[in-house]
Amino acid sequence: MGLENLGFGKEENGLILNTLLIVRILILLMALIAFYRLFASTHLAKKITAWAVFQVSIVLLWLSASSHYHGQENPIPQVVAFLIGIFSIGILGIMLIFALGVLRRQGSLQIENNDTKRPA
Amino acid sequence: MKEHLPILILTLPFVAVPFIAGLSFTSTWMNRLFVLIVFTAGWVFGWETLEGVLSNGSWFYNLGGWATPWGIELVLTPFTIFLTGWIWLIGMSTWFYGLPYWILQRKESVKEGLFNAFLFLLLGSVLGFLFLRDLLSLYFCLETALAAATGLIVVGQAKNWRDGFYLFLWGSAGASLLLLSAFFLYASTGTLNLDDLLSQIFISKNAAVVLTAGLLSILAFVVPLIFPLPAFFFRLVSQTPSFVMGLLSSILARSLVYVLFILLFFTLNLPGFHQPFWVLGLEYLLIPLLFWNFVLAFRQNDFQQLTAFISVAQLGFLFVGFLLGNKSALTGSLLELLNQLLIVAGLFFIAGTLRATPGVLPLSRLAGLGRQRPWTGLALVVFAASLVGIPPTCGSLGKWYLIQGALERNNWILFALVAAIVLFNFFYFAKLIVLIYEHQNAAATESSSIASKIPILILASGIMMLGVFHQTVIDRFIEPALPKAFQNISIPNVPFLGKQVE
Repeated sequence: MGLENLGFGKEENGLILNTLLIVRILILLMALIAFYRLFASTHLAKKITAWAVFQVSIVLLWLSASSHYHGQENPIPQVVAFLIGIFSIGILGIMLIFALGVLRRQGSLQIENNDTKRPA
Repeated sequence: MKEHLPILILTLPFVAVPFIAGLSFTSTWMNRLFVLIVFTAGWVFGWETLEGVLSNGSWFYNLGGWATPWGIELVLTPFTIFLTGWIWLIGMSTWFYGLPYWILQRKESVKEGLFNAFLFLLLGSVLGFLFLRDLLSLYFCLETALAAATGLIVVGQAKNWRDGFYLFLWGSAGASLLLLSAFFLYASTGTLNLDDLLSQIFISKNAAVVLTAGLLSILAFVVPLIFPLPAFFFRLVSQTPSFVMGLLSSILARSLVYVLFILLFFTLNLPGFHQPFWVLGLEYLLIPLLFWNFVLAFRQNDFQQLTAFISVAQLGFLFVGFLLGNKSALTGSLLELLNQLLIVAGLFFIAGTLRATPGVLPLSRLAGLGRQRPWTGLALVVFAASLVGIPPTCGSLGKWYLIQGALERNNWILFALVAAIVLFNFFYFAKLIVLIYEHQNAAATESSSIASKIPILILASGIMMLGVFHQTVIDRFIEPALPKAFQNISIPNVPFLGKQVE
């Protein structure tokens, strides 16, 4: 399974990553690509998707770990992942509402050049 | 009920939100009355809590009776309650200032109601920053604050959908980095409670995690901190009503600076940890970068844009104190924090009185303002004097303590930077005085409403009062908020090896 301890030791407090190394590398790659696309995309819907993927990778990161407190496994990482997941759905909804507002006023979700900057 | 005051203060604005939003669809006057009741209730709760923390010290409250580190902890210190009072005052001033805008110009009762609901959502989230000592809760509050800020911008001016969207998107992307920071800290310590983190970090002595978490936390707050820098939010600054800009620029960025203060000096303060050279270099680079906005500000021809630049530039003073990190410098930073809350809101409020509708506001509109509107002119002089650091304003004391901190540390670079900026600002202060008092023919001929005058005068008086009574503020509120090493706590005279220790 490729258990790796990031904390004090399995018997003590800390976090244990209990997924395969390749899975963690994939999560990292997903996060990096999403973060890059967040900057590079010129379409608001693509930017929202990039943020959502980045957020999912963080949720997966929390899900890939289990926590030990004085030798006892506790579900805090899973609880945190669940809370972030639910909250992120709400944030995504708000983003979509704002994007719809932009679409209604602008007629397109495409980003104009320097559209937040000082007009020429 | 008194024992639950901490959670009552925090939940009051959140509970008010759905009621205010609902009332906006029924009766405008009921909505306004309810807003007034909530503000009054906030003052009553705040006063009771202030009495409690001043007599008994900081108030530690475990949510639902769950003890830390499992439960969520609220910590109310004299400084956070004092800061809450000023934030509540700015929130109330914004609401009062905005009333003529909604009544006379917009006549849109639903939007007014929604605006009030977003106002309380923002106030609740900001109170969460100040009271909650849990990383995950801080993330939730940050996201809620961003959503509320975007809501205020969009409701305040319907043209701002796209800029509001950008603020929310980039703010949320930044906030995600706080989750990463929380993950690394949790991985190393097994806790998310800020106070518990400090002790666990001390045990684990994991300097790499401290550095990573610190950098990620700072990056997480970048977007709200640089709001409303015109380089990124130019159109938004012009089009958004001034009272909305004043509220957001004032309380959002400054409350997050306080969160950074807690994270850097109370949570990630690993004893013996030395920052790498490149991190220190970046920190020293950040200060001139922020101060450069003063130069950009005074090159503007538009008063609202100038104020937006000044809002961001002033953050440089706060970070100077953090970088120096000694008692005088941190005292100066916290005094400056209070000062900047009032200055930024006040300057934007004045900008709002000089233009009827959102749009450009040339500096020439300030010509003769002091003669035409003596009270507004006087308030502008007070804000500008505090910005420059002229006694007895609060800003003068904040900068004095910062300079003292730099001298105590023999840090001539930061001393020279602060002194240079103070002198630079003084030159423009003199030009401003000439502009608003020397011109016989006033550009701003129409008088401002009483609803806009009262908040401006209250904020200006606040700056003077904080300056005049600064020693009381420092002794009762700021000093207990400093790290323990800087507090005047008497050390018990414990006999050591049979001898009394002097």
